[in-house]
Amino acid sequence: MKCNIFFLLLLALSCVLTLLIGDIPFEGVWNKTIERLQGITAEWNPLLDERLPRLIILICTGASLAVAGAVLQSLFQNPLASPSILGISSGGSLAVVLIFILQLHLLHPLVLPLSAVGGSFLILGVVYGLTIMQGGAPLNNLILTGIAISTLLIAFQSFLLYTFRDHWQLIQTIAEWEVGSTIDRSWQHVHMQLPLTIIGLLGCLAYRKEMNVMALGEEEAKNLGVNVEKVRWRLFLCVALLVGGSLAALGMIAFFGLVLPHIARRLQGTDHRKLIPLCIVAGAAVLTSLDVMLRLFNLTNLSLGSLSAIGGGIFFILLLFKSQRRSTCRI
Amino acid sequence: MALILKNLSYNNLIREITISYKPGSLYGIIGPNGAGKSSLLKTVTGIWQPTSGLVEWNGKDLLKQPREEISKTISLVPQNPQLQFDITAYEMAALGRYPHHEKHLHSLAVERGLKHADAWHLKDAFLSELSGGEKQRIYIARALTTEAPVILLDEPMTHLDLRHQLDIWKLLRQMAEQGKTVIAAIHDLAAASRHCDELQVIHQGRSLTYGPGPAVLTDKLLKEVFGLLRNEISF
Amino acid sequence: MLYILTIAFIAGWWITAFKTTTSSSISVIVPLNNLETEKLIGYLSPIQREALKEALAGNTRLMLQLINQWETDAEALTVQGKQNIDKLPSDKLLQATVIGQLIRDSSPEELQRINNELRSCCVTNDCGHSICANKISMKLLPQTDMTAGLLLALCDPEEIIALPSGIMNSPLYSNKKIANIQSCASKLRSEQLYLLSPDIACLAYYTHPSTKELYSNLSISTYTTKNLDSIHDIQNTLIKLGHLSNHPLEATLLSIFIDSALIAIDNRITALSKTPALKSTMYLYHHHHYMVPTNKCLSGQLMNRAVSKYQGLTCHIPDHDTHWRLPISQETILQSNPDCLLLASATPIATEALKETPVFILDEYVQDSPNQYIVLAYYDIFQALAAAHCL
Repeated sequence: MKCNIFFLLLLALSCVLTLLIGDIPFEGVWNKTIERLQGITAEWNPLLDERLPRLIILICTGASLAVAGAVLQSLFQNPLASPSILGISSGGSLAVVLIFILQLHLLHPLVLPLSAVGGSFLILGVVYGLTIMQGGAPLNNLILTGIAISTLLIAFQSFLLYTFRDHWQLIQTIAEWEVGSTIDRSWQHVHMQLPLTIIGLLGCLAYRKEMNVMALGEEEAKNLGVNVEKVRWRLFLCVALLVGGSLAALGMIAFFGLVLPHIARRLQGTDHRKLIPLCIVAGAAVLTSLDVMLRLFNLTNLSLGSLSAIGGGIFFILLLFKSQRRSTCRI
Repeated sequence: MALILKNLSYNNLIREITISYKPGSLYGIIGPNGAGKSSLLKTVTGIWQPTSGLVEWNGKDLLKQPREEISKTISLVPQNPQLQFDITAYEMAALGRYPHHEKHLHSLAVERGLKHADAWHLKDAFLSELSGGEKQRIYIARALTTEAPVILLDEPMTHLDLRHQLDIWKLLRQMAEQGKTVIAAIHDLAAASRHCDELQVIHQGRSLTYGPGPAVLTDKLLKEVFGLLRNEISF
Repeated sequence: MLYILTIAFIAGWWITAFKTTTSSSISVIVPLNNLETEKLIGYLSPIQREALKEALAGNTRLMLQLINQWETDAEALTVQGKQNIDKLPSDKLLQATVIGQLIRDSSPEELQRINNELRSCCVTNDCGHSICANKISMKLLPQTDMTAGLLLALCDPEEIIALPSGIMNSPLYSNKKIANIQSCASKLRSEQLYLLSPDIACLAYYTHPSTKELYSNLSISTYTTKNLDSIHDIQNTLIKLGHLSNHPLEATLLSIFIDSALIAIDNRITALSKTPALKSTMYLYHHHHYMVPTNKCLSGQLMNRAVSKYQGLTCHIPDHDTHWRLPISQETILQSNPDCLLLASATPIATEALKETPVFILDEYVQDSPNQYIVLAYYDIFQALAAAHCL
């Protein structure tokens, strides 16, 4: 409860700062916002057309990645599971790189986000299909197939980047997309991500009880009445929605989906009925705060993706040093 | 209502087992290591999908029903489950209510199950704090909270001292007397013969024979299946 | 059923959201063609972009012609009473004239001999190492686009044994000149290098140590360049390459031509601003999002130079020691309230915030050329400012 309150307060503070901080002083922005809301003017407004959409995207992405990571760590019973384990993020990333290479992103603003989501789903389908062909979808098969496909996709992406290394404009574009950036996000990005996030989060919330039962093991879960294959498939779909939406709106935010669930689990325990809502709030709060920090301190060298990766790396090193403690957590 | 297995097979671990388990009886499944006792239990519950044959309940193929219906009919008490996290006895017993959606009946069913298993006094304790026998009671309580008419137990006496073993036998007997079909995979031939109404002998995945203990455990069977002489076992 | 509802929800949301979104367009205006520029400052000689490009590619006759023409233009502007008109220093003008004459009047062999007498046999590269070259006819291997561009202007095609693959697709270099030179300098392996045996290879400072070692083992001298962060750096490297390749006269002339061309463009900007119409402008790049050049970047320096010549014009070019570009949001752009935007991008993206602002598209490849073609970049900037001035 205390954790929820803390993160809610952090989220509230980050939201306020996100809306207040910008190059145009807030007073001027606010006056123009009032005029716009009153219909006096229709011109582009920093608060309504950039800061607010950016805030919504940060909240959605933070919540999405944290919940996706928590769900995958629970399903795979592996603390190192993250959205990349099934090749979902690699698939979306490769699709976006292909779109950049073919310059299809110039056709319509929707092409890029759609390709990110489509790539994520396609690879999920491939991984699942391959696993079914091997005879059922036990966890080990899924992990191995996912890692194999992910490795293949990353290798192919590296091949493409090497082939096109002379096209420095293309490499620059891909590099800017890959690090994850909140610059110039608009309502188009919000509309792209929001329905995916809503469905994905609702799905994960709906299966919290099942995740608790599945934490006992696949056989035990079946014994207790959980349709493990169905629940797992639906949760994977939700994860693909969440990760695809985040890729579409912000790009790659590495490590976030791996680290945030660990923080939430240490604070709340492993009861998914409380863990998932905490991940939503904590993920949104932390990502929004990171963005506020980047803007407040004008850290142009760092992006959201790199900052979360640095933080995640430090977190894991601390975790290693403290690993003398018991590994079991209490519900 | 009897639980009927018809030519039930799972890969080469279980081969064409046909048997009828009647309600109100305590069955013991015996056999040497690797005979397929645990495999049979997992196949009957549908945890492992049978490669052929069926499990019939109430005239229907039970394993073709939705997972929740299967769990409301058969509940398995596992052998030495490994927990990734710690949980209270009450919460573990309450997990047995998952297939049921009548929320208003949950707490009553959990209380009843724990009391029936003589574990109500342990409800707030974490499983890691309990002894082997107490843990076994909690898992049995969980099976009871599912209100399933068929209870399967996989080696329920493993790692239990004699006192706890006798307590568990007593509990199983009570459950059978209440009309449940209780089927337990047992290592201890003597205890199985003593406590169970009928024994089923599994050998190399096949059901060799079944019936009351003394009738089943002939010298020939003991020698051929278990490699034992009668005077080596105290019945 | 659940899946259908989910798909319907998502599809319905997207259709509703994106159906009503009209794709906003930035008002793109192509920079004025030469004719309009001529009309703008009718008493000056027109600068033809193609002629400028050809001169920068090494046409010495054209270089001298243009230098003289621009000197006349500068005189005309001074007579008109325009203030702050720059001219090429008289010693450089004289030097250019003499060199031009020498090159014009000498046969190829004579020119080679004169060059050989005048060259410095040893030059110091950007890493402080001394490289010596004394052969009359050198075989050169440029590994970077920058040195390839400079050498193509100075040398005959026979003197360059291979070119970097990026050059082949560049709009800056004439197919005629590069057709006979094999591409993919980076793909040459040790045995091919041994067979081709270049005298000097021009490497970047970030070349792999193993590659540098290979050249050393094959006794191939290497000239290493660091980033060229200013016009002066470009000219400095140009001169050094001229000496190494036995073309010091051509290099000196080209260096003077660069100065002359930049001054000519400066004067035209000054002439434009006699009736200043622009108050603020902004120079941007766009790949995935907008970036603004810093004063470390050549484009940033060119903009600062142009803005200093146009009376009252401001342009946001941040100071930075380490970054060439910095990200910038639409909000910051709007805050600057520019009269026009100069956008160096191959793929300009429409943005709602900049709908009302005229945008001029510049060729990013030219804008980022750290060799003599930086003059073309400055010319393109002038064309854009002239177009904006007319609006």
